[in-house]
Amino acid sequence: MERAVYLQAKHLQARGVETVLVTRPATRDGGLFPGEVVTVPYGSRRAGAHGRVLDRTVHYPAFSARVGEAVARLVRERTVDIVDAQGLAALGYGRLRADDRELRAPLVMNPQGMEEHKAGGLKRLALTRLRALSQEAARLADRVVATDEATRDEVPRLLGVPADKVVVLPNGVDPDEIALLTPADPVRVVAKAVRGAGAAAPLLMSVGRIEAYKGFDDVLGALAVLHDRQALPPGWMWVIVGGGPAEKALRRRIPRHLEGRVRLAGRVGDDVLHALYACANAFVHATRYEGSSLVTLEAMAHGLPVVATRAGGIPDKVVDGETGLLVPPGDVAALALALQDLLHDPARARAMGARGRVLVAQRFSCGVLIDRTLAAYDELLRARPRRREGDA
Amino acid sequence: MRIALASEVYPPRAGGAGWSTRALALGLRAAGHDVTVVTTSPGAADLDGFDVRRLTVRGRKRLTAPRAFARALAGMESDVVHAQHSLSALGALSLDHPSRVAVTVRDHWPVCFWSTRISQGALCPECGPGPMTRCVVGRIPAPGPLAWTPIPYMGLDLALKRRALRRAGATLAVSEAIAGELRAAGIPRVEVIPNVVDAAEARATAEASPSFAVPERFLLYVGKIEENKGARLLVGAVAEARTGLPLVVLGEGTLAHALKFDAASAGVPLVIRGWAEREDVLRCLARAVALVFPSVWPEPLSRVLLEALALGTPVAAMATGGTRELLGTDGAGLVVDDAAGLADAVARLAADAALRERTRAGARARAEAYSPQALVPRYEAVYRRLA
Repeated sequence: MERAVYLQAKHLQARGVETVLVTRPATRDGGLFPGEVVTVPYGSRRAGAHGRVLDRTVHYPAFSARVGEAVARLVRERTVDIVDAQGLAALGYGRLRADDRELRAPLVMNPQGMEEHKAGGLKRLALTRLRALSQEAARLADRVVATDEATRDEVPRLLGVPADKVVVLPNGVDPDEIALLTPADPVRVVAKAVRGAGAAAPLLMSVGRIEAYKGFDDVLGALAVLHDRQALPPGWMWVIVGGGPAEKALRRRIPRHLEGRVRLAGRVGDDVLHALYACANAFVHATRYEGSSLVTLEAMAHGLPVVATRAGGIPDKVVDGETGLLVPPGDVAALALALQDLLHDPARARAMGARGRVLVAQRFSCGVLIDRTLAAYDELLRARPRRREGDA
Repeated sequence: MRIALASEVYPPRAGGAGWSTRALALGLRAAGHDVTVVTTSPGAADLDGFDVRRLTVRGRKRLTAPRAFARALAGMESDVVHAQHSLSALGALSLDHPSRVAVTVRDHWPVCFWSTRISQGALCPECGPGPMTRCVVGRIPAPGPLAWTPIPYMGLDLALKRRALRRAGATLAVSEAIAGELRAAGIPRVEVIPNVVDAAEARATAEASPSFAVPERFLLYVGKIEENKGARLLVGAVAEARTGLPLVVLGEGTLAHALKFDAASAGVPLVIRGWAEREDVLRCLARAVALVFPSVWPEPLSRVLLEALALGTPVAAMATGGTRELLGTDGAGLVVDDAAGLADAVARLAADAALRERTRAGARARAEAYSPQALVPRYEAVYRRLA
């Protein structure tokens, strides 16, 4: 999310739009934000605490109210024209605006992953309040953002807003920035960071938080059965970038004879990540649930063919047979078949990767997407009620 | 011991596999174990006084049911998990400790994508991409070679299932016939433990009259009215036996109309009762002159035959799969090799009261081999090894 906001601001500035960010004090090394930053206290001082359910339920609504106050001040004093809020942060300004005609700046809400609406079981129960609040925020907003055509219907269904309030504004990547982040000698960086990966061919990679629902188990199962049938090119290797709660369990699942071929690289820096993208031959993303998947876009921007599941916004990016291969979530046999197909035809795989890179440049680069964002803003500003005579 | 039985099928509405699981659960409880049942079948959560966890599964069962089983089993504190079928086994084997999982294989799922080993009405001699070009015909709704496109998928799916099964702490085949094909497929740690049938319980249930009227003397067929169960041979064999007895059919299936047509043209009095409750099946079995069992597929270990043994029903059965080992060689039933033999066996059973009495006695003696007293200690030995 932080990355998406940063890119949005950067490209808005490039088009001459001034931005000011209202957020909590930085908990870790934030990059430089292109523009002014106003911070309001969050409530909990523990770094990273905002990820926990209890902490979010307690502190986030109050934080949102403080954000709302700060935003309202900016709108009154500095004639901010548009408020674009991430998730529940929209609530504070939305509530203030409902009672105050002075606050004329339209409100756009980007609900991001809508995780609180998708969780199941006990977690769902714990998130009940946040769910109600995010629905309220969505009702108060003028526009609610869906990140993909494929998930456009989710927004009205989960947030209870009319479909005509939904605007599809995909998250994008910035190919120029990706080029800057990629080391000049990726093979050397990869060889140093991940044992054996420098010489691997083909090199498969996956990126993501290691959680049970991300489907890394499925990839492992598919690769293991293909390996045992000798259906994989001899030098194959699969590198997973990321850490998470299921990391240990996944490590335990790796059969002994595949230990040299499946590597959990853990969390890595941008240079290693992009060096891996640059060296890899294919990107595998077998998740069972997905929002919009920026990592898939990054892989495509690096010209990698993608084997992925038909989950969330992925079908918007991975065109089956064109820029990669799609399989049903959880179908290990279909996944194995797709991997086998892709790895046995390197020329076709390269062509898919090249088409993917073009697709990203044409449809998912920030420079292009920012036009859609600006168009959405313009439409809202034109529809804004005129200031009445006599109003201060 | 705390034992979790996981099965996609379980009573009240279930075929033989579900009732076999229930018989095992009852036997284990009688031996003092703490049994929990996890199933994707609907029904009461306290059937027979067990804790029955009924899971709801949406979407394509092949993909979602194993996950539902894994989730439910991971949250339970059991010493061993005993999976009863393919999807429950895949779920249980994806847990962190597959060595604590026993899997009963009660059909051909580790070696055949369709679990039947039947291709175009005949037994498959072997499996592979070549033979699969035949077995997809009629099952995949696509013309000609287009029906072949799923073959690589089918092969991988089978390989994945076998790969999972190799991790199991114990693989229990219900018959030597199944054990043989599992060993040939490279599954380690295979042993044979048949299904349990509690003869006393079956006889007590069968004492009452069926809930519908049945003729005084009749021949009985129980099972799906399908190709693999020998539905196409059934009426022919009964007609050729010339017993004059009516044929009562308990079951449903796509060949029901063909059965009626055959019966009308052969002059065999036929009553199709449709799907029947287990009580009614047992009560009919206890009253039938003979059970006709024309199955042509490799029967793993037929539940109907087990219950017929327990009730002493004279049986005329085709010798396929595990049927010959089930009935044994001591006159517990007539085992034949073809349709002509089946007709002959039905005729002899209908005509010869002394022969019927001998097979009744033989059947009841044979049923002892499948009693809880005989089999539960063998299951316990496996569980103790795994826990």
